[in-house]
Amino acid sequence: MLFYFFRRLGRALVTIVGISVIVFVVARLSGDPTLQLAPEDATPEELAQIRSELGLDKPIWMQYVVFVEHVAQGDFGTSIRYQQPALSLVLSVLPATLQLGLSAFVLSTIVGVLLGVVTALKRDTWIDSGLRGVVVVGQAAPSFWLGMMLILLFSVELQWLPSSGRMSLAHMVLPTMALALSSVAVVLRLTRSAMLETMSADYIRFLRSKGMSKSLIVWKHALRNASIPVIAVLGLQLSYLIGGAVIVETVFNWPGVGRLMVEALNARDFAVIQAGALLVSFFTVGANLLVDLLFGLVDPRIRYE
Amino acid sequence: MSKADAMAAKVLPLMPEPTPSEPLVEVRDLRIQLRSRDGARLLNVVNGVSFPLHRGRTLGIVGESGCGKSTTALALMGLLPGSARVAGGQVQFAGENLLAKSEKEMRELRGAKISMIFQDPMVALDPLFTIGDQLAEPLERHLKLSGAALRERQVSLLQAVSIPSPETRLGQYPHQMSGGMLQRVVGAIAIACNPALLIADEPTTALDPTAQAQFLDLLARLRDTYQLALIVVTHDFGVTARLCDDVLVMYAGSVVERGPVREIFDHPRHPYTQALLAAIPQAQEDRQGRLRTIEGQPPDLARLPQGCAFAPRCPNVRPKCHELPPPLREMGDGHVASCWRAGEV
Repeated sequence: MLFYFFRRLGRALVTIVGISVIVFVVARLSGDPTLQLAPEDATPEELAQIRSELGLDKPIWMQYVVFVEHVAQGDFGTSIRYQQPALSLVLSVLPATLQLGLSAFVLSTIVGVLLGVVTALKRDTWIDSGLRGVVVVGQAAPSFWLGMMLILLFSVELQWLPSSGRMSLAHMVLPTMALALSSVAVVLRLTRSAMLETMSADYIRFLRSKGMSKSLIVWKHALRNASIPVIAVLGLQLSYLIGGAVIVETVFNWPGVGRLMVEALNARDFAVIQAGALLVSFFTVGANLLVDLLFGLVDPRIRYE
Repeated sequence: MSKADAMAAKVLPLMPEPTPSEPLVEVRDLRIQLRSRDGARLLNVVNGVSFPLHRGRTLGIVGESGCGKSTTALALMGLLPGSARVAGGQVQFAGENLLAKSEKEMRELRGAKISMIFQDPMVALDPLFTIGDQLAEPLERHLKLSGAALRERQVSLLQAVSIPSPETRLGQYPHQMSGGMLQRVVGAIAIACNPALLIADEPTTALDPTAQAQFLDLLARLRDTYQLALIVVTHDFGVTARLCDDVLVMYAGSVVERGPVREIFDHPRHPYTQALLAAIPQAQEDRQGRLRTIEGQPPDLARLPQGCAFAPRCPNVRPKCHELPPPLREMGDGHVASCWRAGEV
């Protein structure tokens, strides 16, 4: 198990390095920030001076080496737009994103898995078909549309919940729902099909022939066997919910990393883009590492491979 | 008594000798229907199966795939799939009709009084739990064992099925063991709570020949030690010859012949039984000859002929065979066969 863990950890570090290269290059592909910083009537000499102040006149590989050197010391550069360290800028909005992403993740895990098990056990009943209808809507409806519908219903018509900002717990409800619904749908559908498959396995029949109770068969044996694909998809959902809440954050005016990144991209604020993307990718790689570890814990065949 | 027998006897106390006149299991006119895939029709997959079975005795149920032999076994366990239903008959077990019992009552019997071994040991155990855990489950549930008593029983059960170094094995997972070893574990789980009836559905089909022979010997030993009533579902007459006292031959959901194993081998009365026996590959004689097979296709249960189901493939067919299905007729010595010409052949 320890060997298994270190191998996965090594793979995660390689991934982080790869991501840093991509983030660095892609940010530069988005355009030249000097044009936005300089006044409209700037001379070519002035532009060249700004470039050399920012280090943009050096070859790109040298820029990357400098970037890595600084990052290793915790320095992600300074935001061109805010004139603040990029890292502290991103860290200041990270809690808002984590709060929203993690609550949506917990919600979709619990609801998705529970309903997935229920629909598998009640296959072809009205509960099953009803919930599968919800799944189709959840997967088909874009989150911005869903967010606006929720605002229309709960904020405008019923006036139960606030529609924007991050002041209280009540402010979390609508964005969490808008963010979680598609995840609930994905997790539910996958849990259902994985449960259907394991429930028809031979060892389930043998368990029944041992006189085991239905609840023990379902919750101890079937769910654990079905959990392997579910864990894989939960890992994807975790990184999606933390890194990909851009649209929902925008709709609900939620002050998170997603919104900051959109603004930074528009301003070609390289340092912020890099810091934000790297930080989010840390969570993605971390989520994948967690998934790998859970696989090992759940399945002895993976542990002993 | 061999060392293994003595070991096994230590695990479970020997049951008092059953009264020979009372069968432990008495199946009477069991009928099972299966809803067809499109849901439109009901197929008669088991069509009036009857047999008695005493403790310490072994019945072999023989037939081709789809003849209803496994369905019969599952019905005894109360584990028929959702698409199947019992359409009639009785399964008397220790004086009670199992078919009248609720699912809850059957759960108390399964694994405790009636156990089953399935075909493929590689998939019979949950891959995510240790052998010890899966062996403990019926012991905890039915015998309420725990702690040291549970541990002791687990170890002695593995010893009873001749698994070496049982303490180590208890902590291992199914993927760390061979097929033959796993089938022994399945056997240990099946006899864990000292059942009276053990049903083995093709127990050796998935094993290699050496493991097959060993497992059949093990089944015979467990049967003799614990006075189990044993039902072996198989398509292999070799298994039957080795293990069984009586044989029941099924074709298209019906019993075509039933009797003591020697009777069936020496004087098969039904042409289907005769054809099955002739199709057994012979090691010595007829080496140059081709494998004998039965002409034609296994029957389509949705389109059974009006008369005898075997008539389209029968070499001795007569006009009468196409008109009326033949009843089971007594041939003497507990031997019955359903063929219009059974008296002549």
